[in-house]
Amino acid sequence: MTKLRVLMILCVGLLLFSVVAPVAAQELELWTFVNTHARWFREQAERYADEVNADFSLNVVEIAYADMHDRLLISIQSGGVGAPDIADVEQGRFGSFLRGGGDPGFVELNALLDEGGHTENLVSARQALYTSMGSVYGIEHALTPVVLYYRADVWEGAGFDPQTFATWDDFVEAARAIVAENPDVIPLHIHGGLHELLLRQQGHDYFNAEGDVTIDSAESIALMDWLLALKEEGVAGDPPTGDALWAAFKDGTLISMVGADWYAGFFKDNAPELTGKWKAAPLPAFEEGGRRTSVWGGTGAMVVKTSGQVEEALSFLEFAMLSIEGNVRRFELTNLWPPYIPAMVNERLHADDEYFSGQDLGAVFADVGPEAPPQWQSPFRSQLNSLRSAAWQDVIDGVRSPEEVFTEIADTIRDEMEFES
Amino acid sequence: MRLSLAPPSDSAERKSLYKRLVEATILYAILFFFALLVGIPFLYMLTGSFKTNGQLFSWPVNLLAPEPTLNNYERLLSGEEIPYLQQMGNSVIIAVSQSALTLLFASMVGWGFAKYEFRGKTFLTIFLLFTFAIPFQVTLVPLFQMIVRLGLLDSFLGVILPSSVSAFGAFFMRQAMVSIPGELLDAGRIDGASEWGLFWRIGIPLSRGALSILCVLVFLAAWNDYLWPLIVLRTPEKFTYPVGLATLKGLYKVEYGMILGGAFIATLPIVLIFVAGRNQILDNLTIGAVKQ
Amino acid sequence: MFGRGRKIAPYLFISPFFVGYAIFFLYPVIQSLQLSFYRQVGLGKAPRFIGFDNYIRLVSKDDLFIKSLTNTTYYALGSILIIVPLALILALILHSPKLRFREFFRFLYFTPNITAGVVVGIIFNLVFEEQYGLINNLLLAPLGVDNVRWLREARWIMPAIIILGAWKWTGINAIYFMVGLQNIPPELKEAARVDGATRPQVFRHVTLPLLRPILAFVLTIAIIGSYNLFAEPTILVGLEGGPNNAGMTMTMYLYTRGFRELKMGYASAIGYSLAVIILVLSLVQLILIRAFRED
Repeated sequence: MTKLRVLMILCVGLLLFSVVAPVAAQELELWTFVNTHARWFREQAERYADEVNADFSLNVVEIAYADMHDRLLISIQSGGVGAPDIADVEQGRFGSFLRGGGDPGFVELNALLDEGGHTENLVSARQALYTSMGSVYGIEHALTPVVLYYRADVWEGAGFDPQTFATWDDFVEAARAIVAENPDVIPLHIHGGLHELLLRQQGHDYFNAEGDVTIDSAESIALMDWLLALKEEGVAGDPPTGDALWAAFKDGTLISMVGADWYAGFFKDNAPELTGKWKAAPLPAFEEGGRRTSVWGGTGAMVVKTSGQVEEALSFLEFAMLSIEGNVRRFELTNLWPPYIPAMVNERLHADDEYFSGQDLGAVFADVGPEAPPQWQSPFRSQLNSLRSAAWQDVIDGVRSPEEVFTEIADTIRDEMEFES
Repeated sequence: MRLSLAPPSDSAERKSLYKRLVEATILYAILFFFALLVGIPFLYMLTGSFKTNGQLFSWPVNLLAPEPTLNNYERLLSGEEIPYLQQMGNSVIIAVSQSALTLLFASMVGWGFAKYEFRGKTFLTIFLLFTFAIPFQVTLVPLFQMIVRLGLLDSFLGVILPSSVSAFGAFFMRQAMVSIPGELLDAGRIDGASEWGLFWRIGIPLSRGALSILCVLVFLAAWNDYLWPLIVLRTPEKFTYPVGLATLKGLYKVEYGMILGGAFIATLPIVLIFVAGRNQILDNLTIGAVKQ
Repeated sequence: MFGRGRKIAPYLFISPFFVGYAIFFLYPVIQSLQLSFYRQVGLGKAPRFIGFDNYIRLVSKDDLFIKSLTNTTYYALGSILIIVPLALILALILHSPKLRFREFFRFLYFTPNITAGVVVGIIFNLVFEEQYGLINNLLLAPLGVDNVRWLREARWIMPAIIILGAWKWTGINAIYFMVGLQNIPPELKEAARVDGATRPQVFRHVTLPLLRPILAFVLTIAIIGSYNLFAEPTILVGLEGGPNNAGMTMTMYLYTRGFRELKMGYASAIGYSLAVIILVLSLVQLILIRAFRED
């Protein structure tokens, strides 16, 4: 009887104790969802502390992709509770901060970029992804040029050199020969971003410059039909996900990857066993003389408005992201091709890459970079992405036709646009 | 139906030993089969926490861990990815405080309803019963906005307070306390006890059984809750363990061994508590639940 | 503290609870109703009154809402159809006299119930894994069944979640039924047996009718539990419910609209729809149980 009372009093005491909040540390906090970015940010923070401000300390927090954006959005919505000072926002999710037409909650960077003379040093098509109504909110990490990564040992062993593929027809022809020899191999795997990036290679996208949704365009549907026909034929395939994906790369089931610059870092992190076996080539074009690249992904670093240390945060971003040293170092650590024009010609971008069979990987990116197509931001992009990824497996499995699915997605988005206008 | 494993009663049919043996075998086989179905995922959680990702995703599937590694636990407990020990501590603080508060509020209101006549009692009872059926999801958005306005976002109080007023608890305690004999209270009053004293010295001790059941129910619900802490808590240092574990799940590279280790550590204490007081808790839990 | 006034004492006893209840439940319930008539989207935008538009949109235009409703109902029906018979069989076996290890079984079957939804979700990711998962390798492969793409193919996602639900909830329901069986006076069954009733007849005409209150309880809990389902499918297939949103429950839908897309008014309308559905279903189920009593 007394025991119970003591227990109850104890519990209430514990509750009161828990209310006393711990004191926040006096340092800047940065959120990112990519481990390669985190690595680079930590290094840049040390460099900044050495060269600019000895008191500077940056806490780089890695949070899962969906989680990080969800949490950031809620934090900004609730006046900055638990928000970081700086955040990496992926272009596909930035739209959700623009939704409804309100203030996205990030510091406008126009003054920093214009006055510092940085605007013309940045690739404007990339910056457009983080711009809304003339206000720039983010600085792009990577140009995200898309190339064809391939297992040199397999393709060259079969007598083909993907460097010489001028068009996708050349690729498909060679792929047919490889599959004929070994039916278990998937020369082209239709990953979640393939349709989108190939569509941009053709000069189209899911949204156009005016912000209209165009995923149901004739070109978009035809492209998906083409991919599905390749799958039917056995040249293309549906890759496994998660850890099984890397297992498939390692056991030689997957022998190529149509991916952006950031995928090079993913290979090194997740399949170190394959060092010396990969190479990269410009994308085959859709027609002779056509564009040899695309863009895929991209992430902008942004300063959160509610940060108590906006000046320091801006100064750090300028130091790291708007400098030749920072951009070059990022390529050395993560293979992200700089969107910062003065850094593009730096010789350190052209070191031989052991993982890619001693190839000058930077040369491939530099070669195709100027052709990189534009990509347009829309407040509805993240919703379109989630609709599309939900329907994706049905399309791949042939349960529903691309036309049906893409039309349905486009109609939903148009309806949503109308509802919110 | 009477599935009897006992020797045949004298009134009953004469069943051969053989038939009874077959029957018993089938019954035990069913029980063991279900025990396996229930147990194997737990076993896999335990052994998986001693495996690397490569060992988990390899063939053939092995329920045991032939080459156990402690690496997952070392990395989890060192706080390399998330401050997991702290998050478990947060869960303890939240679950304990929430249980204490719920018990206090519920027993007080239950006492008021069980032992007093007052104006508005019938109305309040019916009103409570009526709102009892409204699911909490209805309140999710406004409650979140209120927590923001009160400055309780990312605080333990923001998690605890809204969950500590339980209409179920109120009814539950009223039912338990209504049977306390009125004469005891009258005797107490004659001895000069205050109304609060009667509640604290007679009401609480005499409904210990009900209180312990409610305590277990509330504690379990708070310990395992995911949705509300996910909404209120914003920084990893404040997360409860389910929210923390879930953040590990979405990472670019999913460290299953580490997650399984965390899951195992968080489940173990609950299971141990139940093993220690298994029959008492189980019986009371179910009886309490079925009674309403 | 309370003085001796028996007049005011009851109010003092009940007030902490009711103050809390008013602030943290009643007020949000009313506020939510009001919000559901407004459009509030995104960051820092003022809400605009739109009458019943949110509700009209939900039922007439929002395929995802209908899908989450269908998914949740599928789960509720599927899990009830599996859990109730299984739990009843287990309870009958566990109820047999002189059973050995009864406590062991009872406790083991109960364990999934005290395990956090997040933990269960994590474990079942490995149970349902396509190539290296437990079900495909340990249960289906020996039977010669090809790998089922549990979490990748839309049509298998709900069955997977139902299996998870059955794993988690069958045990506790068996225990509820056991309590019900214990409350049936043995004399009733004895009397029926003496009158010449066979075992199935006793079960059908004595045991089952007397289990009706427990059945009502089990069904009510199951319905409410189904529409609350959130942690397990979220961990298993993600907040959007995976391929074709096949694993998206209504609570997940509410969460994504409200806390991922910041459509606060719309999310409130979803909350109210959910409340209406739960109320109606619980009522229907109570009426059905009562109707059975008539036969």
